[in-house]
Amino acid sequence: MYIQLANLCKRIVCEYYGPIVESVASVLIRDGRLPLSLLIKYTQLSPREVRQALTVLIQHGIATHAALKDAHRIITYYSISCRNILRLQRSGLYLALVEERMGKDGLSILRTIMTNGCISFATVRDLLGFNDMSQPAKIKFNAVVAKLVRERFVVAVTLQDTSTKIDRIMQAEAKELDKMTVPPTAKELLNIRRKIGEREDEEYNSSTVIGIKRAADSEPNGNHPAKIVIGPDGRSAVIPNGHDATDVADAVDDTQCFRVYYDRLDVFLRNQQLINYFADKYNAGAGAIVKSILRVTEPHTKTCRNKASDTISASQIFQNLSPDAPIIDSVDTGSDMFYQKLGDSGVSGTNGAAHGKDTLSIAKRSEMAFALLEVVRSDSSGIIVKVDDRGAGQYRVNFERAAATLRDYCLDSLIHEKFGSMHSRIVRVLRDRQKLDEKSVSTAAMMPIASCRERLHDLVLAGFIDSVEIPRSADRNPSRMFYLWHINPKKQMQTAMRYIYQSIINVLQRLEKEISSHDLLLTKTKRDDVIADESLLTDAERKELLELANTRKRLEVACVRLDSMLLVIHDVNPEYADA
Amino acid sequence: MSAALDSAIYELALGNPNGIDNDFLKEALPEYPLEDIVNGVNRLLQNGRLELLQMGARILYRGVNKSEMERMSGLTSDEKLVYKHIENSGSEGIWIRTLKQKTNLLQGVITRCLKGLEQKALIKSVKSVKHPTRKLYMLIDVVPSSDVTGGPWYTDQEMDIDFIDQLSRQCYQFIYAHSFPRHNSKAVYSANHTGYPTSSQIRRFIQENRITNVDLSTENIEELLTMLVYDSKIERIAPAFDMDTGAQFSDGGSKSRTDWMYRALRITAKDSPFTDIPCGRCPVFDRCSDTGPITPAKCEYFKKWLTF
Repeated sequence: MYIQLANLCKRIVCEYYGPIVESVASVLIRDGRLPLSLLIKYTQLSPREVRQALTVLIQHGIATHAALKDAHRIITYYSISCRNILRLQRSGLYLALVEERMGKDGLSILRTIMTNGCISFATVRDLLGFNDMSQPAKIKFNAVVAKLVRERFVVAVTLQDTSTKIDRIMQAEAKELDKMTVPPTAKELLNIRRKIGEREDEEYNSSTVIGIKRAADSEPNGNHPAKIVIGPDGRSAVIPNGHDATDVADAVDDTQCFRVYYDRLDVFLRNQQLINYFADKYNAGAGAIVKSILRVTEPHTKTCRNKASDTISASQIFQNLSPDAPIIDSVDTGSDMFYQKLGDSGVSGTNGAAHGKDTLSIAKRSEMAFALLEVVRSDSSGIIVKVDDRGAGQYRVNFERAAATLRDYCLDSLIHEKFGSMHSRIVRVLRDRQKLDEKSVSTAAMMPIASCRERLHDLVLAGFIDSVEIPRSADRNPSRMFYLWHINPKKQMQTAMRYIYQSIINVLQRLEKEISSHDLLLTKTKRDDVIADESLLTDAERKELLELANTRKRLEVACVRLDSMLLVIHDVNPEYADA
Repeated sequence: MSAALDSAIYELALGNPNGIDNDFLKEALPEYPLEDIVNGVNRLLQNGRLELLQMGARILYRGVNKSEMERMSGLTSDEKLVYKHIENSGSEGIWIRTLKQKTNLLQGVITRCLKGLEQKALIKSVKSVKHPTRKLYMLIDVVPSSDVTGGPWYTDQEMDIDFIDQLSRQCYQFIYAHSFPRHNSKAVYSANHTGYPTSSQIRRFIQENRITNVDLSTENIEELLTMLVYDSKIERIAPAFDMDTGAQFSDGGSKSRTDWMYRALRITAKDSPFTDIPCGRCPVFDRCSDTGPITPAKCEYFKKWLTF
């Protein structure tokens, strides 16, 4: 872990939960897993405060706990997830996303759940004044709640959520080992681990939505208690009754607590980045096609852990294309003549001019959409893959390639900004050709060897590239050594993340300073008399407030944008999405 | 008698540039005994009209033509030896240390010979691009190979960055102009469009518009285009396939060479989140921390940026 990451996490925790929680969190970040006694000792807080702080962190899914059997007693260890802390600053993006898809109700529900960590919908309803709503508003509200749960924007909180995946695996392994009378052989151990892994995967892939009650068709109100079973893992689940989820009126279990499923929300953010990539590279029409593809695949793409989407057909893509998508005239297919003829025949036909024009525009639109689909499929990134030619074609999204493309693109832009275009050219050469010596780099990048060497050293000092030495003689004399330059993708990613963490810290610090320098004025604006009568503020003060608001906006936007780089570089990668 | 024999041998040797051996001479001049022939060959070797070549175990004689003889006439034997090696190095040239190894002469002797040959305007020295400190020697009338000069991208042993920049900009503009439909700049060509420029078309464009006087080969253009690909300005597209034969279209009849097409990319001006904030290009980024003389709270760049 980098010191920048620790500092940033501390800052965020302090901003969201205050200094007491921050001191507990910072000890956990610094020292890793700790039992309560040591936490109290290191933080020098009272046991009560530490317990409360831990409760807050566990409530918000930031801290986890695991019981470990010692010789005579059971000790509970607490650990913290920096990843979940960093997600806090992305909350604005998550809320905007939910507002776009679920409307105002969705926004207020998700905000309430986010503020409270995990909460049941009964409490959410109380907090949002459900009882005072009109009947249509109530129905709409319930529909949004059902949709939020069904589409997994929020998930039911289970016992497993309070422990990390590694803890769960360790516990399951210990359980299996306890059953055995003799220590396991290596093969048996391997078998046990494989089984546990399979069980984890099965649970992950299960399509059952916990916490949703399905009312029978005869009882459309959905208030009838559904049949809930307790699974082997202690989780409650509904037995699927063979109906499609959308066929049945869903009702959410009001007593079940829910939390925001951030892993799932990251999928939507990643998909937005993908749409932007194609829209920038080709045009808005290509972006619309990719948007349609991703919308179709979204329900089955649970988290960024999925390496590829389901296979979907071209007609599904075209059906989901939004009617106002700007795809007309976005591809030059060179077949306008054909439509001219078609239009003419429509006009002269029995159905009249209007029908002819309609046929024309529909035919043209579908041809355009197909041409655009071919364009995005033949893109060099290989993100959209054609699986089969059946029908108009079967397609799939390769999320691994998507993550790699977005990451490389983001890293290149970072290096481009930090060092310049020549440096980013060198990095691309190395990424493409892997291990190269100085001379080959300078030939491929077409730059004089002296300046190439200088740039290679800049990059290696910053940690974006690496060198490996190959001795020509056994004495490993430095002058008789080949030095090959190459890229270590993991290290490059970590270096970039360190830069981003530091930059976010800088922006936050500046923000703090800007606010504290206007402390007096801000205190004044919070006075009851000023709130009641704004004319108590002078013109100069109003101007100052406006400037401060602008400054805050700029700095906060910068923070969000930097955070989106973190998302692209690290979080959307299937390899790390499961951490 | 001996003069007639000598001239006969010399004529035969000149007629066979690959060299002749004793058996050949015996057959060609049956009227002379072998002893006389050998004596004649020795005389010719002595006055430099023949030279000895060794091919495996066989010894061959090669005739030295008049102009060559004139050139060599004023040279000492050491100079001749050095001259021969330089001649053999062809357009690649030969380094003085390699010369020393091959001739087994002393450094001083070689330096003297080289000086003498240079004074007689028989050889010249050139600097290599690969090893700028090395002097390579080659015959005065030989054009140095592109390995030595570095090809068209080098002027006076230095990479001509301005020239490369200019040319790559022209290439990019040409590719850009052919990458998007003219009547609608927002549209793109369909996936099976084959009208994107290839390297040979770009070469023709450069030649026809006289953008440069330097003669550029298709390989040179491809180097330039590869650089543009690494700049993320253009993209390489797999060439079209000839449906009938299954072979790729290529110009000049060489079926093995792939003629890639090139398409310009729209995203060239990158707007990174680091462009927004002053930290992106901050020269003291690494020294910035919570405490000390450089902190974000005291940062002058932030101050300027926020008042901007």
